[in-house]
Amino acid sequence: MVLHLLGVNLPENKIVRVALTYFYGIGHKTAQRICSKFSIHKTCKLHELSESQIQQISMELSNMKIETDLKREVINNIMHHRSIGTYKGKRHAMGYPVRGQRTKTNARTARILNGRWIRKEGFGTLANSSNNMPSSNPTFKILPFFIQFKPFDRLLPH
Amino acid sequence: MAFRHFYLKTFNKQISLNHYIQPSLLSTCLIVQKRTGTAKPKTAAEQTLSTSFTKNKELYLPPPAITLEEMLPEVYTDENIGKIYRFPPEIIPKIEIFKFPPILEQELSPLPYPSLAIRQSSIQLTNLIENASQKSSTETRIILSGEMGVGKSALLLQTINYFLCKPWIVIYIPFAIKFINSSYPYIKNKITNEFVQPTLSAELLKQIKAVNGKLLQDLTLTRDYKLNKYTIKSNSPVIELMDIGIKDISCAFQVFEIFLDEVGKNVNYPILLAVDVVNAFYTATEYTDVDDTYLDPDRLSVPRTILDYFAGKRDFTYGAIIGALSQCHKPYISKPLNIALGLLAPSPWKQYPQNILNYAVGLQRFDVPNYSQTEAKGVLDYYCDGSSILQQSRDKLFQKTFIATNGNPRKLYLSCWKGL
Repeated sequence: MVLHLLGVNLPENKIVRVALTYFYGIGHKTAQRICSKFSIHKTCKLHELSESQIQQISMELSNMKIETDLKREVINNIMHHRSIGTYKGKRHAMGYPVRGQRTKTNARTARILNGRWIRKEGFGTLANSSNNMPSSNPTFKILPFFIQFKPFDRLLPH
Repeated sequence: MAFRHFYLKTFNKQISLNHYIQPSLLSTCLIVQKRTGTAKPKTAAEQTLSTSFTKNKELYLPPPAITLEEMLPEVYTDENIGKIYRFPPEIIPKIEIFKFPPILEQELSPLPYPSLAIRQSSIQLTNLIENASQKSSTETRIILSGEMGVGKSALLLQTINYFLCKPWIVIYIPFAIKFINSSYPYIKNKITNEFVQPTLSAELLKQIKAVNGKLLQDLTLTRDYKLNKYTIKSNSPVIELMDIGIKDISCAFQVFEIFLDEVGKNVNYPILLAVDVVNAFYTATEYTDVDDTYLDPDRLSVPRTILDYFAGKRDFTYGAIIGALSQCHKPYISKPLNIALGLLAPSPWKQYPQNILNYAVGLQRFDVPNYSQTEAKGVLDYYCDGSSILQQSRDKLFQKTFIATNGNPRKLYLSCWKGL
Protein backbone atom coordinates (compact mmCIF):
# COMPACT_ATOMS: atom_id res chain seq x y z
CA MET A 1 0.00 0.00 0.00
CA VAL A 2 1.21 3.45 -0.87
CA LEU A 3 0.42 6.82 0.65
CA HIS A 4 0.29 9.78 -1.74
CA LEU A 5 1.49 12.98 -0.18
CA LEU A 6 2.29 16.23 -2.04
CA GLY A 7 3.10 14.47 -5.30
CA VAL A 8 5.32 11.77 -3.79
CA ASN A 9 4.37 8.13 -3.25
CA LEU A 10 5.41 6.90 0.21
CA PRO A 11 5.32 3.15 0.95
CA GLU A 12 3.15 2.58 4.01
CA ASN A 13 5.37 -0.02 5.61
CA LYS A 14 8.18 2.45 6.14
CA ILE A 15 8.96 4.21 9.39
CA VAL A 16 7.71 7.82 9.23
CA ARG A 17 11.13 9.28 9.93
CA VAL A 18 12.60 7.40 6.97
CA ALA A 19 9.64 7.88 4.63
CA LEU A 20 9.84 11.68 4.97
CA THR A 21 13.38 11.60 3.54
CA TYR A 22 11.89 10.45 0.23
CA PHE A 23 11.02 14.13 -0.39
CA TYR A 24 13.60 16.18 -2.27
CA GLY A 25 14.82 18.72 0.28
CA ILE A 26 14.21 16.64 3.42
CA GLY A 27 17.03 14.67 5.01
CA HIS A 28 17.28 12.80 8.28
CA LYS A 29 17.59 15.91 10.47
CA THR A 30 14.52 17.70 9.15
CA ALA A 31 12.55 14.44 9.15
CA GLN A 32 13.40 13.95 12.84
CA ARG A 33 12.42 17.56 13.59
CA ILE A 34 9.05 17.12 11.87
CA CYS A 35 8.37 13.90 13.80
CA SER A 36 9.28 15.52 17.15
CA LYS A 37 7.00 18.49 16.39
CA PHE A 38 4.00 16.19 16.07
CA SER A 39 5.10 13.73 18.81
CA ILE A 40 5.59 10.78 16.48
CA HIS A 41 7.73 8.11 18.12
CA LYS A 42 10.78 6.68 16.36
CA THR A 43 9.34 3.30 15.46
CA CYS A 44 6.02 4.61 14.13
CA LYS A 45 5.12 3.36 10.65
CA LEU A 46 3.09 5.34 8.12
CA HIS A 47 0.05 3.07 8.35
CA GLU A 48 -0.17 3.76 12.12
CA LEU A 49 -0.68 7.50 11.61
CA SER A 50 -4.13 8.97 12.00
CA GLU A 51 -5.75 11.17 9.34
CA SER A 52 -5.29 14.31 11.45
CA GLN A 53 -1.57 13.58 11.90
CA ILE A 54 -1.10 13.07 8.15
CA GLN A 55 -2.88 16.38 7.51
CA GLN A 56 -0.67 18.13 10.05
CA ILE A 57 2.45 16.72 8.37
CA SER A 58 1.30 17.77 4.88
CA MET A 59 0.50 21.29 6.18
CA GLU A 60 4.00 21.49 7.62
CA LEU A 61 5.57 20.19 4.40
CA SER A 62 3.65 22.64 2.23
CA ASN A 63 5.06 25.48 4.32
CA MET A 64 8.61 24.24 3.71
CA LYS A 65 10.58 24.66 0.49
CA ILE A 66 10.80 21.14 -1.01
CA GLU A 67 10.55 19.35 -4.35
CA THR A 68 10.00 21.61 -7.38
CA ASP A 69 10.26 24.91 -5.42
CA LEU A 70 13.68 23.95 -4.14
CA LYS A 71 14.89 22.71 -7.53
CA ARG A 72 13.75 25.98 -9.10
CA GLU A 73 15.63 27.98 -6.47
CA VAL A 74 18.84 26.05 -7.16
CA ILE A 75 18.51 26.59 -10.90
CA ASN A 76 17.76 30.29 -10.41
CA ASN A 77 20.86 30.72 -8.27
CA ILE A 78 23.04 29.27 -11.02
CA MET A 79 21.30 31.34 -13.70
CA HIS A 80 21.81 34.46 -11.60
CA HIS A 81 25.57 33.90 -11.63
CA ARG A 82 25.53 33.42 -15.38
CA SER A 83 23.37 36.43 -16.03
CA ILE A 84 25.58 38.85 -14.10
CA GLY A 85 28.70 37.39 -15.69
CA THR A 86 30.59 36.12 -12.64
CA TYR A 87 33.48 33.66 -12.71
CA LYS A 88 31.20 31.01 -11.13
CA GLY A 89 28.67 31.49 -13.90
CA LYS A 90 31.30 31.01 -16.56
CA ARG A 91 32.53 27.79 -14.96
CA HIS A 92 28.98 26.46 -14.77
CA ALA A 93 28.47 27.31 -18.40
CA MET A 94 31.69 25.61 -19.49
CA GLY A 95 30.91 22.52 -17.48
CA TYR A 96 34.05 22.84 -15.33
CA PRO A 97 34.52 22.63 -11.53
CA VAL A 98 33.37 25.80 -9.82
CA ARG A 99 35.02 25.60 -6.41
CA GLY A 100 38.66 25.73 -7.40
CA GLN A 101 39.31 21.99 -7.95
CA ARG A 102 41.94 20.77 -10.39
CA THR A 103 41.09 20.29 -14.08
CA LYS A 104 44.35 18.69 -15.26
CA THR A 105 42.88 15.39 -14.12
CA ASN A 106 39.71 14.37 -12.32
CA ALA A 107 36.91 16.76 -13.12
CA ARG A 108 34.51 14.09 -14.24
CA THR A 109 31.51 14.95 -12.07
CA ALA A 110 31.74 18.62 -13.00
CA ARG A 111 31.83 17.84 -16.69
CA ILE A 112 28.64 15.80 -16.42
CA LEU A 113 26.65 17.81 -13.93
CA ASN A 114 27.74 21.45 -14.15
CA GLY A 115 25.91 23.72 -16.51
CA ARG A 116 23.17 21.27 -17.46
CA TRP A 117 20.49 23.86 -16.65
CA ILE A 118 22.27 26.46 -18.72
CA ARG A 119 22.54 24.13 -21.71
CA LYS A 120 18.89 23.20 -21.32
CA GLU A 121 17.60 26.75 -21.21
CA GLY A 122 19.96 28.03 -23.90
CA PHE A 123 21.00 30.89 -21.65
CA GLY A 124 23.42 33.75 -22.29
CA THR A 125 25.16 36.59 -20.42
CA LEU A 126 23.80 40.09 -19.80
CA ALA A 127 25.93 41.34 -22.64
CA ASN A 128 24.18 39.15 -25.17
CA SER A 129 20.57 39.40 -24.10
CA SER A 130 18.38 42.35 -23.29
CA ASN A 131 16.12 40.24 -21.12
CA ASN A 132 17.66 37.65 -18.74
CA MET A 133 14.80 35.17 -18.34
CA PRO A 134 14.82 32.54 -21.10
CA SER A 135 11.06 32.01 -20.86
CA SER A 136 10.42 35.64 -21.87
CA ASN A 137 12.42 35.18 -25.08
CA PRO A 138 11.85 31.65 -26.31
CA THR A 139 13.41 32.21 -29.75
CA PHE A 140 16.77 33.32 -28.31
CA LYS A 141 19.37 30.87 -29.59
CA ILE A 142 22.66 32.76 -29.93
CA LEU A 143 25.12 31.22 -27.48
CA PRO A 144 28.10 33.23 -26.22
CA PHE A 145 31.60 32.27 -27.24
CA PHE A 146 32.58 30.65 -23.91
CA ILE A 147 29.78 28.12 -24.05
CA GLN A 148 30.81 27.05 -27.54
CA PHE A 149 34.47 26.70 -26.67
CA LYS A 150 34.72 23.25 -25.13
CA PRO A 151 38.01 21.44 -25.67
CA PHE A 152 36.68 18.16 -24.22
CA ASP A 153 33.30 18.31 -25.84
CA ARG A 154 33.63 14.95 -27.58
CA LEU A 155 34.17 13.26 -24.21
CA LEU A 156 30.93 14.61 -22.75
CA PRO A 157 28.00 12.23 -22.80
CA HIS A 158 25.10 13.72 -24.76
CA MET B 1 28.67 -36.92 8.31
CA ALA B 2 25.02 -37.49 7.44
CA PHE B 3 24.09 -36.89 11.10
CA ARG B 4 25.93 -33.57 11.16
CA HIS B 5 24.43 -32.56 7.83
CA PHE B 6 20.93 -33.31 9.08
CA TYR B 7 21.31 -31.09 12.15
CA LEU B 8 22.93 -28.24 10.24
CA LYS B 9 20.03 -28.30 7.78
CA THR B 10 17.40 -28.00 10.47
CA PHE B 11 18.93 -24.96 12.20
CA ASN B 12 16.49 -22.13 12.67
CA LYS B 13 17.60 -19.16 10.61
CA GLN B 14 17.32 -16.81 13.56
CA ILE B 15 19.81 -18.74 15.70
CA SER B 16 23.46 -18.45 14.74
CA LEU B 17 26.47 -20.23 16.16
CA ASN B 18 29.02 -18.12 17.94
CA HIS B 19 31.63 -20.84 17.68
CA TYR B 20 31.75 -24.02 15.70
CA ILE B 21 30.36 -26.76 17.95
CA GLN B 22 31.26 -30.39 17.35
CA PRO B 23 28.41 -32.71 16.36
CA SER B 24 28.55 -34.67 19.62
CA LEU B 25 27.60 -31.47 21.41
CA LEU B 26 24.64 -30.76 19.16
CA SER B 27 22.27 -33.10 20.94
CA THR B 28 22.03 -31.02 24.10
CA CYS B 29 24.08 -27.98 23.28
CA LEU B 30 22.95 -24.52 24.22
CA ILE B 31 23.09 -22.01 21.45
CA VAL B 32 23.16 -18.46 22.69
CA GLN B 33 21.49 -16.20 20.16
CA LYS B 34 24.04 -13.70 18.89
CA ARG B 35 22.96 -10.11 19.36
CA THR B 36 23.53 -8.58 15.93
CA GLY B 37 22.22 -5.35 14.49
CA THR B 38 20.23 -7.14 11.77
CA ALA B 39 17.40 -8.46 13.90
CA LYS B 40 14.72 -10.18 11.86
CA PRO B 41 11.15 -9.61 13.00
CA LYS B 42 9.52 -12.54 14.79
CA THR B 43 6.51 -14.19 13.24
CA ALA B 44 3.17 -13.88 15.00
CA ALA B 45 3.42 -17.44 16.31
CA GLU B 46 6.78 -16.82 17.90
CA GLN B 47 5.70 -13.54 19.41
CA THR B 48 2.95 -15.16 21.44
CA LEU B 49 5.40 -17.57 23.05
CA SER B 50 7.75 -15.44 25.07
CA THR B 51 9.84 -18.48 25.96
CA SER B 52 11.30 -20.83 23.45
CA PHE B 53 10.93 -23.98 25.47
CA THR B 54 8.90 -25.57 22.71
CA LYS B 55 11.65 -24.92 20.16
CA ASN B 56 13.90 -27.28 22.04
CA LYS B 57 11.78 -30.33 21.22
CA GLU B 58 11.63 -29.65 17.50
CA LEU B 59 15.32 -29.15 16.88
CA TYR B 60 17.25 -31.18 19.41
CA LEU B 61 17.24 -34.62 20.91
CA PRO B 62 15.60 -34.63 24.32
CA PRO B 63 18.12 -34.53 27.15
CA PRO B 64 18.20 -37.23 29.81
CA ALA B 65 15.09 -36.91 31.94
CA ILE B 66 15.63 -35.28 35.32
CA THR B 67 12.82 -34.86 37.77
CA LEU B 68 12.89 -31.48 39.45
CA GLU B 69 10.68 -30.34 42.27
CA GLU B 70 8.62 -27.22 42.02
CA MET B 71 9.95 -23.93 43.38
CA LEU B 72 7.25 -23.28 45.94
CA PRO B 73 7.65 -20.90 48.91
CA GLU B 74 8.32 -23.79 51.32
CA VAL B 75 11.46 -24.63 49.41
CA TYR B 76 13.20 -21.33 50.19
CA THR B 77 15.18 -22.59 53.20
CA ASP B 78 18.85 -22.83 54.16
CA GLU B 79 18.92 -26.61 53.65
CA ASN B 80 18.04 -26.25 49.97
CA ILE B 81 20.84 -23.90 49.01
CA GLY B 82 22.43 -25.14 45.79
CA LYS B 83 19.48 -27.31 44.77
CA ILE B 84 17.72 -26.70 41.48
CA TYR B 85 13.97 -26.26 41.33
CA ARG B 86 11.73 -25.62 38.40
CA PHE B 87 9.05 -22.97 38.15
CA PRO B 88 5.62 -24.37 39.01
CA PRO B 89 3.50 -25.02 35.93
CA GLU B 90 0.76 -22.67 37.23
CA ILE B 91 3.21 -19.79 37.55
CA ILE B 92 4.93 -20.07 34.15
CA PRO B 93 1.92 -18.75 32.17
CA LYS B 94 1.67 -15.80 34.57
CA ILE B 95 5.29 -14.86 34.05
CA GLU B 96 4.85 -15.38 30.31
CA ILE B 97 2.10 -12.74 30.32
CA PHE B 98 4.62 -10.25 31.73
CA LYS B 99 7.29 -11.94 29.55
CA PHE B 100 10.63 -13.24 30.75
CA PRO B 101 13.58 -10.82 30.67
CA PRO B 102 15.14 -11.25 27.21
CA ILE B 103 18.70 -12.30 28.06
CA LEU B 104 17.59 -14.68 30.80
CA GLU B 105 15.04 -16.16 28.43
CA GLN B 106 17.78 -17.10 25.97
CA GLU B 107 19.80 -18.70 28.74
CA LEU B 108 16.85 -20.68 30.08
CA SER B 109 15.46 -21.71 26.72
CA PRO B 110 17.51 -24.83 25.94
CA LEU B 111 16.84 -26.37 29.35
CA PRO B 112 13.93 -28.84 29.56
CA TYR B 113 12.11 -26.72 32.14
CA PRO B 114 12.81 -23.15 33.20
CA SER B 115 14.62 -23.77 36.45
CA LEU B 116 16.85 -21.88 38.85
CA ALA B 117 18.98 -22.71 41.87
CA ILE B 118 18.06 -21.58 45.37
CA ARG B 119 20.80 -19.30 46.65
CA GLN B 120 21.61 -17.61 49.93
CA SER B 121 20.64 -14.26 48.42
CA SER B 122 17.22 -15.56 47.30
CA ILE B 123 16.40 -16.56 50.87
CA GLN B 124 17.67 -13.24 52.25
CA LEU B 125 15.69 -11.18 49.74
CA THR B 126 12.44 -13.09 50.21
CA ASN B 127 12.78 -12.74 54.01
CA LEU B 128 13.37 -9.00 53.68
CA ILE B 129 10.21 -8.59 51.64
CA GLU B 130 8.15 -10.94 53.82
CA ASN B 131 8.98 -8.70 56.77
CA ALA B 132 7.74 -5.75 54.73
CA SER B 133 4.35 -7.29 54.11
CA GLN B 134 2.83 -5.30 56.95
CA LYS B 135 4.75 -2.10 56.32
CA SER B 136 4.44 0.78 53.88
CA SER B 137 6.34 0.43 50.63
CA THR B 138 8.44 3.53 51.36
CA GLU B 139 10.34 1.48 53.95
CA THR B 140 11.28 -1.30 51.53
CA ARG B 141 12.72 0.11 48.33
CA ILE B 142 15.47 -2.27 47.27
CA ILE B 143 17.80 -2.14 44.27
CA LEU B 144 19.71 -5.30 43.31
CA SER B 145 23.27 -4.54 42.26
CA GLY B 146 26.32 -6.56 41.35
CA GLU B 147 28.69 -7.30 38.52
CA MET B 148 27.54 -8.48 35.12
CA GLY B 149 26.15 -12.01 35.04
CA VAL B 150 25.91 -12.39 38.79
CA GLY B 151 22.18 -13.30 38.79
CA LYS B 152 20.19 -10.14 39.52
CA SER B 153 17.42 -10.78 36.97
CA ALA B 154 17.27 -14.44 38.02
CA LEU B 155 16.97 -13.41 41.66
CA LEU B 156 14.17 -11.01 40.81
CA LEU B 157 12.40 -13.78 38.92
CA GLN B 158 12.68 -16.10 41.93
CA THR B 159 11.14 -13.50 44.25
CA ILE B 160 8.32 -12.94 41.78
CA ASN B 161 7.69 -16.65 41.69
CA TYR B 162 7.65 -16.75 45.51
CA PHE B 163 5.12 -13.93 45.83
CA LEU B 164 2.93 -15.10 42.96
CA CYS B 165 2.41 -18.30 44.95
CA LYS B 166 1.33 -16.19 47.92
CA PRO B 167 -1.64 -13.84 47.97
CA TRP B 168 0.33 -10.79 46.90
CA ILE B 169 -0.49 -8.52 43.95
CA VAL B 170 2.55 -8.58 41.68
CA ILE B 171 3.41 -5.96 39.07
CA TYR B 172 6.49 -7.04 37.09
CA ILE B 173 8.27 -5.07 34.39
CA PRO B 174 10.89 -7.39 32.85
CA PHE B 175 12.50 -4.88 30.50
CA ALA B 176 12.18 -1.22 31.47
CA ILE B 177 14.08 -0.07 28.39
CA LYS B 178 11.04 -0.57 26.15
CA PHE B 179 9.25 2.14 28.14
CA ILE B 180 11.79 4.77 27.16
CA ASN B 181 13.25 3.70 23.82
CA SER B 182 10.60 5.38 21.70
CA SER B 183 8.80 2.18 20.71
CA TYR B 184 5.36 3.23 21.96
CA PRO B 185 3.25 6.19 20.81
CA TYR B 186 3.27 9.28 23.00
CA ILE B 187 1.03 12.34 23.16
CA LYS B 188 1.64 15.66 24.84
CA ASN B 189 -0.70 16.68 27.61
CA LYS B 190 -0.76 20.48 27.25
CA ILE B 191 -2.12 21.06 30.75
CA THR B 192 0.56 19.20 32.67
CA ASN B 193 3.33 19.56 30.03
CA GLU B 194 3.87 15.81 30.34
CA PHE B 195 3.83 13.15 27.66
CA VAL B 196 1.32 10.33 28.03
CA GLN B 197 1.88 6.81 26.65
CA PRO B 198 -1.65 5.47 26.13
CA THR B 199 -0.96 2.11 24.44
CA LEU B 200 1.72 1.26 26.99
CA SER B 201 -0.61 2.01 29.91
CA ALA B 202 -3.35 -0.11 28.36
CA GLU B 203 -0.90 -2.99 27.83
CA LEU B 204 0.28 -2.80 31.45
CA LEU B 205 -3.31 -2.79 32.72
CA LYS B 206 -4.10 -5.83 30.59
CA GLN B 207 -1.08 -7.74 31.90
CA ILE B 208 -1.80 -6.86 35.55
CA LYS B 209 -5.43 -7.87 35.18
CA ALA B 210 -4.53 -11.19 33.54
CA VAL B 211 -2.05 -12.15 36.25
CA ASN B 212 -3.75 -10.80 39.39
CA GLY B 213 -7.38 -11.11 38.29
CA LYS B 214 -8.45 -13.44 41.10
CA LEU B 215 -7.15 -11.17 43.85
CA LEU B 216 -8.39 -7.98 42.21
CA GLN B 217 -11.95 -9.28 42.05
CA ASP B 218 -12.24 -8.77 45.82
CA LEU B 219 -11.17 -5.13 45.71
CA THR B 220 -13.53 -2.19 45.24
CA LEU B 221 -13.10 1.52 44.68
CA THR B 222 -13.27 3.92 47.60
CA ARG B 223 -14.80 6.87 45.73
CA ASP B 224 -16.38 7.99 42.44
CA TYR B 225 -14.19 8.77 39.47
CA LYS B 226 -14.90 10.74 36.30
CA LEU B 227 -13.01 9.68 33.22
CA ASN B 228 -13.35 11.01 29.64
CA LYS B 229 -16.69 9.54 28.74
CA TYR B 230 -17.34 7.28 31.72
CA THR B 231 -18.10 7.80 35.36
CA ILE B 232 -17.45 4.97 37.76
CA LYS B 233 -19.00 4.92 41.20
CA SER B 234 -17.49 3.91 44.49
CA ASN B 235 -17.79 0.30 45.62
CA SER B 236 -17.68 -0.94 42.05
CA PRO B 237 -15.00 -3.59 41.46
CA VAL B 238 -11.51 -2.47 40.46
CA ILE B 239 -11.65 -4.84 37.50
CA GLU B 240 -14.45 -2.78 35.97
CA LEU B 241 -12.17 0.26 36.11
CA MET B 242 -9.37 -1.68 34.43
CA ASP B 243 -11.73 -2.83 31.67
CA ILE B 244 -12.52 0.80 30.89
CA GLY B 245 -8.81 1.59 30.62
CA ILE B 246 -8.15 -1.39 28.37
CA LYS B 247 -11.03 -0.62 26.00
CA ASP B 248 -10.60 3.15 25.78
CA ILE B 249 -6.96 3.96 25.21
CA SER B 250 -7.45 7.72 25.58
CA CYS B 251 -8.05 7.37 29.32
CA ALA B 252 -5.76 4.37 29.87
CA PHE B 253 -3.07 6.29 31.74
CA GLN B 254 -5.61 8.01 33.99
CA VAL B 255 -7.06 4.60 34.81
CA PHE B 256 -3.56 3.23 35.52
CA GLU B 257 -2.86 6.00 38.05
CA ILE B 258 -6.25 5.58 39.72
CA PHE B 259 -5.73 1.80 39.81
CA LEU B 260 -2.35 2.13 41.55
CA ASP B 261 -3.86 4.59 44.04
CA GLU B 262 -6.85 2.41 44.86
CA VAL B 263 -5.01 -0.87 44.99
CA GLY B 264 -2.28 0.75 47.06
CA LYS B 265 -4.86 1.66 49.73
CA ASN B 266 -6.04 -1.91 50.22
CA VAL B 267 -5.05 -3.77 53.37
CA ASN B 268 -5.86 -7.36 52.34
CA TYR B 269 -3.18 -8.02 49.75
CA PRO B 270 0.32 -6.48 49.83
CA ILE B 271 1.71 -5.25 46.51
CA LEU B 272 5.08 -6.03 44.95
CA LEU B 273 6.35 -3.73 42.21
CA ALA B 274 9.40 -5.27 40.51
CA VAL B 275 11.32 -3.61 37.70
CA ASP B 276 14.24 -5.18 35.85
CA VAL B 277 16.83 -2.89 34.16
CA VAL B 278 15.62 -0.12 36.48
CA ASN B 279 18.62 2.04 35.54
CA ALA B 280 16.79 2.78 32.27
CA PHE B 281 14.33 4.93 34.24
CA TYR B 282 17.21 7.06 35.49
CA THR B 283 18.67 7.96 32.07
CA ALA B 284 17.54 10.31 29.33
CA THR B 285 14.86 8.76 27.14
CA GLU B 286 14.87 8.45 23.36
CA TYR B 287 11.64 10.35 23.07
CA THR B 288 11.92 13.93 21.84
CA ASP B 289 10.13 17.05 22.91
CA VAL B 290 8.38 19.38 20.47
CA ASP B 291 11.64 21.33 20.05
CA ASP B 292 13.64 18.16 19.24
CA THR B 293 15.44 17.84 22.60
CA TYR B 294 15.57 14.48 24.41
CA LEU B 295 13.06 14.05 27.22
CA ASP B 296 14.00 13.16 30.77
CA PRO B 297 12.12 10.18 32.24
CA ASP B 298 10.14 12.40 34.61
CA ARG B 299 8.48 14.06 31.60
CA LEU B 300 6.97 10.74 30.50
CA SER B 301 3.87 9.63 32.34
CA VAL B 302 4.40 5.92 33.01
CA PRO B 303 8.11 6.11 33.97
CA ARG B 304 7.35 9.11 36.20
CA THR B 305 4.60 7.22 38.04
CA ILE B 306 6.90 4.28 38.70
CA LEU B 307 9.75 6.58 39.74
CA ASP B 308 7.40 8.23 42.26
CA TYR B 309 7.05 4.86 43.98
CA PHE B 310 10.80 4.26 43.91
CA ALA B 311 11.46 7.70 45.36
CA GLY B 312 8.88 7.26 48.11
CA LYS B 313 6.70 10.15 46.90
CA ARG B 314 3.83 7.69 46.58
CA ASP B 315 3.42 4.48 48.44
CA PHE B 316 1.43 1.32 48.89
CA THR B 317 -0.05 0.84 52.34
CA TYR B 318 1.42 -2.65 52.45
CA GLY B 319 4.03 -3.70 49.95
CA ALA B 320 7.56 -3.50 48.64
CA ILE B 321 9.37 -2.15 45.61
CA ILE B 322 12.37 -3.85 44.01
CA GLY B 323 14.50 -2.89 41.06
CA ALA B 324 17.39 -4.72 39.45
CA LEU B 325 20.26 -2.94 37.73
CA SER B 326 21.62 -4.25 34.47
CA GLN B 327 25.03 -3.61 32.99
CA CYS B 328 24.32 -5.47 29.76
CA HIS B 329 22.81 -2.46 28.02
CA LYS B 330 25.57 0.13 28.11
CA PRO B 331 23.69 3.24 26.88
CA TYR B 332 21.24 2.88 29.76
CA ILE B 333 23.72 2.72 32.64
CA SER B 334 22.78 5.60 34.92
CA LYS B 335 25.55 7.55 36.62
CA PRO B 336 23.20 9.49 38.94
CA LEU B 337 21.68 6.22 40.19
CA ASN B 338 25.11 4.63 40.71
CA ILE B 339 26.21 7.68 42.69
CA ALA B 340 23.06 7.59 44.83
CA LEU B 341 23.63 3.90 45.57
CA GLY B 342 27.30 4.44 46.37
CA LEU B 343 28.62 2.43 43.43
CA LEU B 344 30.35 5.43 41.87
CA ALA B 345 32.22 8.31 43.44
CA PRO B 346 30.83 11.65 42.21
CA SER B 347 33.30 13.75 40.27
CA PRO B 348 33.63 17.30 41.65
CA TRP B 349 34.07 18.62 38.12
CA LYS B 350 30.81 17.30 36.73
CA GLN B 351 27.24 18.32 37.32
CA TYR B 352 24.71 15.54 37.53
CA PRO B 353 21.04 16.10 36.63
CA GLN B 354 19.31 17.06 39.86
CA ASN B 355 15.85 15.99 38.73
CA ILE B 356 17.03 12.40 38.31
CA LEU B 357 19.00 12.42 41.58
CA ASN B 358 15.81 13.45 43.41
CA TYR B 359 14.22 10.14 42.43
CA ALA B 360 17.14 8.09 43.76
CA VAL B 361 16.87 9.16 47.40
CA GLY B 362 16.44 6.60 50.13
CA LEU B 363 17.06 3.47 48.03
CA GLN B 364 18.41 0.36 49.73
CA ARG B 365 21.21 -1.47 47.96
CA PHE B 366 21.24 -5.27 47.93
CA ASP B 367 24.50 -6.69 46.58
CA VAL B 368 24.20 -10.03 44.82
CA PRO B 369 27.39 -12.08 45.20
CA ASN B 370 28.88 -14.75 42.94
CA TYR B 371 28.08 -18.43 43.52
CA SER B 372 29.41 -19.95 46.70
CA GLN B 373 31.04 -23.39 46.45
CA THR B 374 27.88 -25.30 47.43
CA GLU B 375 25.73 -23.34 45.00
CA ALA B 376 28.21 -23.81 42.14
CA LYS B 377 28.46 -27.56 42.86
CA GLY B 378 24.69 -27.93 42.79
CA VAL B 379 24.39 -26.06 39.52
CA LEU B 380 27.23 -28.01 37.89
CA ASP B 381 25.70 -31.30 39.03
CA TYR B 382 22.48 -30.26 37.32
CA TYR B 383 24.27 -29.38 34.08
CA CYS B 384 26.16 -32.69 34.11
CA ASP B 385 23.03 -34.72 34.86
CA GLY B 386 21.07 -32.92 32.19
CA SER B 387 23.49 -33.45 29.34
CA SER B 388 25.13 -36.32 27.58
CA ILE B 389 28.18 -34.29 26.67
CA LEU B 390 29.87 -33.28 29.90
CA GLN B 391 31.75 -36.52 30.21
CA GLN B 392 34.59 -35.25 32.38
CA SER B 393 34.72 -36.14 36.01
CA ARG B 394 32.65 -33.66 37.94
CA ASP B 395 35.33 -32.71 40.48
CA LYS B 396 37.80 -31.78 37.79
CA LEU B 397 35.20 -29.84 35.84
CA PHE B 398 34.09 -28.04 38.99
CA GLN B 399 37.63 -27.06 39.96
CA LYS B 400 38.50 -25.90 36.45
CA THR B 401 35.41 -23.82 35.85
CA PHE B 402 35.00 -22.43 39.38
CA ILE B 403 38.57 -21.18 39.51
CA ALA B 404 38.49 -19.74 36.02
CA THR B 405 35.15 -17.95 36.42
CA ASN B 406 35.39 -17.10 40.14
CA GLY B 407 31.86 -18.41 40.57
CA ASN B 408 30.21 -15.88 38.24
CA PRO B 409 26.93 -17.61 37.25
CA ARG B 410 26.79 -16.53 33.62
CA LYS B 411 30.46 -17.33 33.00
CA LEU B 412 30.06 -20.71 34.69
CA TYR B 413 27.07 -21.48 32.48
CA LEU B 414 28.90 -20.47 29.31
CA SER B 415 32.09 -22.27 30.30
CA CYS B 416 30.18 -25.53 30.66
CA TRP B 417 28.38 -25.28 27.36
CA LYS B 418 30.83 -23.37 25.20
CA GLY B 419 34.12 -24.20 26.85
CA LEU B 420 36.50 -21.88 28.64
